[in-house]
Amino acid sequence: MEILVFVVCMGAVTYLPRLLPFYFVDVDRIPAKLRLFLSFIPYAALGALLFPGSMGAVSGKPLVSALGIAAAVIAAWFNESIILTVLLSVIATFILLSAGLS
Amino acid sequence: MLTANNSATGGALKKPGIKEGVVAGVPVFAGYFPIAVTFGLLAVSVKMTLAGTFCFSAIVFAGASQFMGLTMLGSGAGSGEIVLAAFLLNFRHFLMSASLSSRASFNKKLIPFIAFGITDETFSVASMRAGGVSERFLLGLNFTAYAGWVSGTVAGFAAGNFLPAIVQESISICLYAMFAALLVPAVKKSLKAGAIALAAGFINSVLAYFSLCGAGWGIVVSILFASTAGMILFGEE
Repeated sequence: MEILVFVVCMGAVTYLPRLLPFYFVDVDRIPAKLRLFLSFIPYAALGALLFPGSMGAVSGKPLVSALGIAAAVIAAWFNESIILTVLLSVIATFILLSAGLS
Repeated sequence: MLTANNSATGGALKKPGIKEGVVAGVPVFAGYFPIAVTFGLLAVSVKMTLAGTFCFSAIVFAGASQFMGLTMLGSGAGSGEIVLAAFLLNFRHFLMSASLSSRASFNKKLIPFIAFGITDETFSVASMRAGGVSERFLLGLNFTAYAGWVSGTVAGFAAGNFLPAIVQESISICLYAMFAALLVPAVKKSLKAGAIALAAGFINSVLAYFSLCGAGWGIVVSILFASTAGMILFGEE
C-alpha cells in the first residue's frame, strides 16, 4: 500500500510537467537563464547518481563495482547503444565476480 | 490514395495518422524493451513486489526517474526525497511538452493522453520527423513506446526470479552502467555537460563522505547546485 502511494506521487510529478505546458506555456517566453538551468539538470542528475553510488553498485564489493563501471565508461566511449554498453558491463562484472574479486 | 508530394502544393499533405505513429514507435519499443527488462530485474533485487513493479512502470512511465527511484529506495532514501528528485529530473519534459504543444493544434480531450506518453525518446522521434505531427500520430507513437516499457518490465521481473545468484549479482551493475551509457556520449559532445556532471558527482560525494544529509537529499542538493553553477558560469556566451 505504501509503495502504491509512493508510485502515484512519482506519477504525479512526472505527469504534470508533461501535461501543463499544453495549456499554459509559451515556450518562447521562458527566460533564457531558466532554460539553461533546466537543460543542465539531466547531466547534474547523472553525475550525482553515479558518484558516489556506483562505487557500491555490487554490494560490499567496491573493486568489482569500480571496474564494472570503468568497463561501462569505456564501452560507452566507443558506441552509443545503451543496451550494448550495459551488456558489456554486466559481462565484465560477471567475469570479475567469477574470478573471485571483491 | 496517393500521398501528395507537397513541395509545391503546400498544405495538401495528408496528416500522419495512428498507423504512421505506431510505425515510428517500433524502434522506440525495441529500445525500451531491454531497458525495461533491466528495470524489472532491478526491482527484484530491491525486493519490490510484482504489483508494485508493474504499477511503477504503468503509472510513472519515465525511464531515468524510475531507475533513480529504485536506486534511492535501495539506499534507504525516504519517499519525499525521491519524489522531489524525480520532479527535478522530470522538469525537462516541461520544455519538451511546451515545444510539442506549439507544433500542432490539439484536441483538448486527447491532450491528457498525449501528454502522458511524452518521453525523451518519443519527443525526439516526434520532433525530428519531417512533415509534421498530429495528435493521432503522437498517440500511436507514445502508446507503442508505452507497450514496450510495460511489457519489458514484467518480462524482466519474471526473469529476475529465475536467474542464478551470481548472474543476479552481476546485474546489479546494470543501473550504473546505464547511467554511464547515457552520460558518456553527452560528455563527448559537450564538455559543459561533463563539467556539470563531475561537479554534481563531487558535491554528492562530499555530502556522502561527511554524512551531511541522507543519500536522497544529497542528490537533490547536488542537482540544484551543479545546475545553478552551470547557469552562472556558462550563461554569458
